[in-house]
Amino acid sequence: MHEPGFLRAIGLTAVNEARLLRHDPVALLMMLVAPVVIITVAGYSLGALYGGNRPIITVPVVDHDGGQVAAELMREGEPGSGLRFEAQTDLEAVRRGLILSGTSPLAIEVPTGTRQRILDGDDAQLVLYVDPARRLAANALELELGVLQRRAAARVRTQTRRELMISVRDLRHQLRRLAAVIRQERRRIRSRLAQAERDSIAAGQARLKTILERSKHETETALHLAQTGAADDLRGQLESRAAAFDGVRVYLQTLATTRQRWEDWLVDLQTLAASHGAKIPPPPELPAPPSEAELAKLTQPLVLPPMQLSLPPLIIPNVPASSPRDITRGDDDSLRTVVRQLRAAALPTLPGALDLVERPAIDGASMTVNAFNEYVPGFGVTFLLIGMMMGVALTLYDERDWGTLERIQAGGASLAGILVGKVFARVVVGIVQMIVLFGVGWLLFDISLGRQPAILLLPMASMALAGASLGLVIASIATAHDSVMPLGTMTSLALSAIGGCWWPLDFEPAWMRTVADWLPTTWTMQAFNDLMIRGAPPSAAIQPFLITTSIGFVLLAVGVSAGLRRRA
Amino acid sequence: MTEDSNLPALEAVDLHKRYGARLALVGVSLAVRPGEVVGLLGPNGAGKTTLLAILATVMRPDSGRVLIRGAPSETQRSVIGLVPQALALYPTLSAGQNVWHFARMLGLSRRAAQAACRQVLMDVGLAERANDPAHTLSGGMQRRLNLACGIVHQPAVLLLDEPTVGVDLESREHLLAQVRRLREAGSAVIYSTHYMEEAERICDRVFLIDHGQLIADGTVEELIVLAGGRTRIDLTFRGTLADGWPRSVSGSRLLPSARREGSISLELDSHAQVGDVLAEMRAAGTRVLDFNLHSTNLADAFAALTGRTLQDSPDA
Repeated sequence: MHEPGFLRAIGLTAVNEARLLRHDPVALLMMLVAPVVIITVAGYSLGALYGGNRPIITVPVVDHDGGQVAAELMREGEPGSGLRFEAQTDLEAVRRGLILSGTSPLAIEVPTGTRQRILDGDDAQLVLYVDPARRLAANALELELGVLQRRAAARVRTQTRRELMISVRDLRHQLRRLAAVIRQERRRIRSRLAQAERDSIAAGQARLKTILERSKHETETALHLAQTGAADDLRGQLESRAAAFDGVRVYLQTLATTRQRWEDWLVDLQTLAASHGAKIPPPPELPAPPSEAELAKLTQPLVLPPMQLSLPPLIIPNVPASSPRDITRGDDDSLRTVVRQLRAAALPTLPGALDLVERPAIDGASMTVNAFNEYVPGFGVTFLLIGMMMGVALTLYDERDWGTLERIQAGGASLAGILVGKVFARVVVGIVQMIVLFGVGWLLFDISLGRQPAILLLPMASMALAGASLGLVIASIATAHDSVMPLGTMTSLALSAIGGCWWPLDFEPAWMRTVADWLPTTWTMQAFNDLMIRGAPPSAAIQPFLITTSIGFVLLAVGVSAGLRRRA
Repeated sequence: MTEDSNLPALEAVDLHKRYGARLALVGVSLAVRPGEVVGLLGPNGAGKTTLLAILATVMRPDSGRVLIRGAPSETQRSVIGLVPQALALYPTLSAGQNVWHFARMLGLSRRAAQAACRQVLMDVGLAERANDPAHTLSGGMQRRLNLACGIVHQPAVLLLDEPTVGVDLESREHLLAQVRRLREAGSAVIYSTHYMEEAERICDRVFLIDHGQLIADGTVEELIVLAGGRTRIDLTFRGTLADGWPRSVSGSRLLPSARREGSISLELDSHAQVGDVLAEMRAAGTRVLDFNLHSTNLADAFAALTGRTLQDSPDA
């Protein structure tokens, strides 16, 4: 017979703890049944926060705008949307009913002029009357309304864009027609301008002709006068020449007669002389030529008298500097440019809707969140903590009250071994508890067990160690059996709440998140979330495991040390 | 139990313990030999439980030391058996599981524990109830189980703190029988009790403790002698007795504190003087309605030594 050593004390204590637990239906109920009940209630109640199914909510809609906006809203509340809108008329009654009936956490008012403001391109607002006591539900509902709102806006924008495109097409068509009309008009104008040009030219020509004719007449008159004078002068000269020419003419006529006679004579001579031509006598003598003076007159140059012309000044009418044709051409180019620019102009486009599309941050992770993936580990950890704290702290006090601890110590068992044995037993029990809860969650609520379910044992074990060790610390702090329950419950609930077991850490203020960094629950929940919700690889659990385990060992050392000091 | 008989199985030397301003133990020293049953008597709050806790090593004295077989008690705890005044049992475990757990925690091997459990349950008369949860047993049975858990490892030193409080006669006999058996096996037993009759029946020696101090130590007979060893007769009568009565019974002494109207107590040298007292009362014309003869016991000894009864509280 020897005193039981440290390890033996651990083993025997652990076995006895399991035996005691087996005979404690209340503890088993708290460990296994209570968590399942709470998880079920929480999962179904709060599942909507995580996007889970919830009953259809009927949202009252008071339409003061009389029409289309409310109708659009009603249309969004179609089956499958999770929302149904109910037209109401009395806003005050709706606001009162919001609180009393409790069916919907908010009501919607469509203020007067909403549609017109939208049509005018101004911003419009729907008024949401929110039950402040149901702020969280209202937030969730507002998220859904936001989705409906974006969906409706996108639909309206698409419809508007479509109508705009049709308008643009019509506008372009009308523009083309306008261009054709303009071309036709341009041609008509050009034709008229050409006609006007021709008329103008004709008028000018007529006017010029008149001028020219008058000038011609005047010129001819002047020329006639000059010609008459010159003719008179020439006539005198010609009469003088004629007198001179008369003598010449007579001579020439005599000469011509003489020449004829000569010719005749010669012919007679030649005929008579036939063979004696040489014997022909000398020719007759020819008449004497005119005198030298008279001949000089004949050779005297004819002098024309200078003509005195007095012509009227030629007045030429003004002719337009640019021809009408040029002006028409210039307008035509400008118009064509304008039309071309209008055709080519980039029409202002309606800005597209900026919608939100969710994608998993981790490849392979699911976008649909099963609320039980959050609540099974969350409340599992909570009840694990409660079980660990009560299991260790309360049973220690039970044993003290029963006297069994004193008796065992009197037998030489190591108190440290007993304490560690209790913690060890509770760690095993806690792991089993978590396995059962996760199994129930998997069977009943289809929770995800991650890529490798066995890895979930790491956060389970580390959390069980930390919780059981904390129970030891609580036992050393508590002054009596009755103080264990409030102290342990308060600690368990605080650790669970701050550590993100009941809601995401993001809900908490910054200082609380700083505190949470030092809590085992925070790291455990991170591991569960990584493995179960984010679909992270098993390695994601290592860091939280190491940190939580370290916290657990520190707490264990503190608890054992405090227990030993307390005994001393 | 093959220890050196010259060495006390248990020895306490000058133990002091204080709870705040209150002295619980003041210089207590004692020694118990192997095979000796020592009674520890004292009123409530006299320091018995504190002394037992220190002897059992579950409490440390402010000063002084405890030796078991000559060695510091902290090194010899596996030979200590403690049967606390309150039940020290796991109520939801069966009787067998309780005994088994303590046997294992007290250092027995699995095989030895099996045999020891079986034997001790038979010894205390609970073999047939071995599988019943402790909380379903009667009060007396729970007391027996409480004893069984403390003696399952056959301790060399057994500390019993009022083990028979509230038990029936049968259970008390079982308990006392086990104490005797252990004594025969060589265990040193310290038996704290209120019951004088139990102490007188099984204790080899008795320590009287009061206000944290051992005021007397000896066999029952020695303590009675120490207290005077006289016989007392309590009389209830009708009539009157003259002053100086009884004159004819030599050595008798009227106890003034016990004189009331119609009753009287006398100390006598021996039982043989009872007839003389009754005869003198008849002669005095009084009618004896009842009388009760009372031999000197440990309570008388305690009262004689402390001026208080064992039922007094220490502050009374």
